[in-house]
Amino acid sequence: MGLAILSFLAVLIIGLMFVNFLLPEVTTFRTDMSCSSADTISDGTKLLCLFGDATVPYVIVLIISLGIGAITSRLNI
Amino acid sequence: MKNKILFLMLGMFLLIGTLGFTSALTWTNVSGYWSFDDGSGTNINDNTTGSLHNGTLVNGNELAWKSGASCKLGGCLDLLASNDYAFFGTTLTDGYNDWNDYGNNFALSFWINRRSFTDAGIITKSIQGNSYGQFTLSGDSNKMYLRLNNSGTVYTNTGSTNINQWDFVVVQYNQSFVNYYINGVFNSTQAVTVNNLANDSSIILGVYFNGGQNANYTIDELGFWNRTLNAIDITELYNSGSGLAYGDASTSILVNITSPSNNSILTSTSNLFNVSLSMTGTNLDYEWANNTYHIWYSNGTTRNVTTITGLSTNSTSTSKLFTLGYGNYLLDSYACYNNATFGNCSWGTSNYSFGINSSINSETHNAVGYETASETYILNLTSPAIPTNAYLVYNGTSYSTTITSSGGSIYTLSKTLQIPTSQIGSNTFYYKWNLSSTFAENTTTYNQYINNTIFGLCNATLTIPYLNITFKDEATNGYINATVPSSTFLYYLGDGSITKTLTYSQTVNQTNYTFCGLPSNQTYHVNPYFQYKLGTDYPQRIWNPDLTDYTNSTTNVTLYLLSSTDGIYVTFQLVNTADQLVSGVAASGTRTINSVLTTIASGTTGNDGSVVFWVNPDFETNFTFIKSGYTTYTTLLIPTQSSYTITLSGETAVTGYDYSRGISYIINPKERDLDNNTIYNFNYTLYSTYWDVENFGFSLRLRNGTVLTSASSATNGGYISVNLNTSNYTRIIMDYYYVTNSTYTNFTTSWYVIDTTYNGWSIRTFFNDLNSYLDSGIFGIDEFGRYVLIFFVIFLSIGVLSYKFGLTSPVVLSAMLFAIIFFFDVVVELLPTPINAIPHSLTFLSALILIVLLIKEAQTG
Repeated sequence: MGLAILSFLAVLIIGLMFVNFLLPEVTTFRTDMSCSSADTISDGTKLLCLFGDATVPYVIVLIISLGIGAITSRLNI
Repeated sequence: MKNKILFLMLGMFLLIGTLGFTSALTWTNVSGYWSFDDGSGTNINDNTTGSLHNGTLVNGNELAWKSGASCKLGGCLDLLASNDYAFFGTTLTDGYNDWNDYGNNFALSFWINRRSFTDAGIITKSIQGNSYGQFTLSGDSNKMYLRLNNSGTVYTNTGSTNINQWDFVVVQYNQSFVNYYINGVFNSTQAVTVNNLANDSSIILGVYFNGGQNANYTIDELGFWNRTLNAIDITELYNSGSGLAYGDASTSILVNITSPSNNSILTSTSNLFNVSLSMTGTNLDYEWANNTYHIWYSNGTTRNVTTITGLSTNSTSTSKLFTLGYGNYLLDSYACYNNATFGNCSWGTSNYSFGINSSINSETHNAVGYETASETYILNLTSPAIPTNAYLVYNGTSYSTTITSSGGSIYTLSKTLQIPTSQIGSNTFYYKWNLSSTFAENTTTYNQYINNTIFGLCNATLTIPYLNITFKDEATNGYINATVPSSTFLYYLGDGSITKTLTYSQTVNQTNYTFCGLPSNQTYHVNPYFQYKLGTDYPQRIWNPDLTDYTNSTTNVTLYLLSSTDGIYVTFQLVNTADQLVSGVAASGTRTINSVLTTIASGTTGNDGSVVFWVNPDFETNFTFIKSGYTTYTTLLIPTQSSYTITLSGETAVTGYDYSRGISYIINPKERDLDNNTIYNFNYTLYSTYWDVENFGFSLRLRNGTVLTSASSATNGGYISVNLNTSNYTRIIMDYYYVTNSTYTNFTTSWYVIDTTYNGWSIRTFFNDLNSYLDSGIFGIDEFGRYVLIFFVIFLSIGVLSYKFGLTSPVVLSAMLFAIIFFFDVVVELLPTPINAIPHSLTFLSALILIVLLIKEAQTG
């Protein structure tokens, strides 16, 4: 049980450290693509902006999923 | 004959002279008057004219003569009870010759200050050594004893005289009685039977008749009268205790209240009270010392006692300002005067009464009034304060009056009443008001007689015609008869708040109907509703004009009937611009008959908004429709149709309109959350397909009400916008509105301003961008597309979960549906709210469905 929790925490911490590297990249991406100017960008750009907006939440969900996976595998659930 | 008349007149004059002036002391029949002012020597001067009856002091030497405070008035004689005495006569034994000529009546008046009650002689008129003589007056204990005509019979005073104090004594004899007066007051009377006094002799002071028993007293102002004195003489001699010198008139003391006047009403609470102090007479060496104002309430309770001191002279006045409350009072003044030896006080002539309250100047009302009439009641008064809480109490009912100032202290209370129908006969009323919170006043009761007011068919009682109705055939213009199936006349004399109604009908044909009024000198305001017809040949018409004034100058009205073969029924339906029925519209129809413009129809629309007229379809008729709040509608037509719809316009207010009809608008920014320190374009686009929009606009403000900016436009819809930097605001609220048909319709929306320092990467950014991209258009997905997308998300989510986990329960499925709708509607606000729907209505609807299913599940479970 303790090892499972440790595993979960290890995955979470390492994953969030990884997310930190993504944050400025996402900001640069949004600024360069002018994602806030909905009236001036093209539909394709809008779609790319949406993917960019979803990146960080997606990675966080992925890290949490991996962490939960680590717990369940340890506990043989 | 002439002489007889003269003597008669002289006699009458003398008679009047003796009768009419007994109110004042006359120094007549004074046998001797001694003031003892000599001061030295042995001679005692007689003050009467000629000094014919001087006296002689024996053994008294200089010590017997006193003056100043030791005496009553001027100087006096002090006889010690050793061997001092004095006599008045030619010798000790003989009186003066002229005393022999006097009658048997006599009086002695003197001031005496006895130093002991030893039985001793005071005054005797006898030959010493013999009997009591004509009279002997002695003192014993605290009484005086008078013996007459050598008789030992004693006549005494009642009560007691004083020792070491001045007393004024009058003792007198008139052959029938002996009277005593002590200090100006009648003391006693005793019957005597002595008719003739003994032989005359000298008057001796200070010894008994036998020459012994010397008295010990001081005597002043001794008078020997050969007549009796009346009460007024004695009062004058007493002179309020100050004594009276020979020949003087007693001093009259006058304490005269000069202000306020007796029975006056004062109009101020602060008033100056003045008292005049004076005295008349010959002894005017008195001076006024003080004056005390006494003020009582009318019930006798003392209100104020104030003494003014420091007065001087024998004629002066005092003034004192008093501030009193409202009410009725009594006033008197008590002033004191004195000289070196004597002091006394005197009240004013009588109590004065005065009031500090209102006085009535006038009251106006009609002695006779009438039912339904306006009666005005006016009270004009002078008041020390503004009246408050003023009422007219009419037959026990209080009516608040109008209080008007006429300037200064003059006020008017007025009230106009509409006389009800229940007060015929004698009525009483009065006015009441307050001058302060604790002082109320009211008038006396007034009377008014109320008479009947009758408007009815003329008869033996109702004889003065006001309204005469005749009938004509509209086609032939000839006079015809008519019956009255029903009629009501609402009438009144006043303002209409009280009315009476005459109900009249007549089934027998009449050529005319005349209505009279009683009272016959008034103007009647009448609203008739008069149905008239002539059998079946002439259908009923209604005469229902507006309220009309009728006077005793008879008003003749001709009403027209139209034959059943000549007319048709025409219905006029009145509506407003919103197609709503309008009731209460005064409708009338006029046409020219024999060159005279004649009203042939009149009525009022009912609740169904219609009015029916029997009219001739062959002639042009002018129809007019009037109602307050609407533009008058007039139309000239030949009424060939059975019905017409009239639309009244220009109404000032219309209720029940749907001002959202045809209205749509767009508000931007669409996202609910705005980034801080970012400029956004706030815009409002309004579309109207039904109403004419007069004005629309919006304002941006903070939660505390601070307006940041605003925009508006006076066009029929359109686009308006402003750019605003969100700065570090936390919330921005937009109040937007539009005006149609002068009706203001407004809404509110708001945005949260988010600090974007650390949220540029949140999933909310994804949904905000999604929202704005959908609004601005992405791949052609419009609002419908948005709904479709969300539907597919819901369908797939619920379908997958249901299939994956075997969830088939309606409750579970509706719970998932509610959760997803809640997420899209409330959390990320992807679902737009329909116009006029409450915000997040879809969330509420799904929640309601969930609750219903839960309840059903619970009931079946």
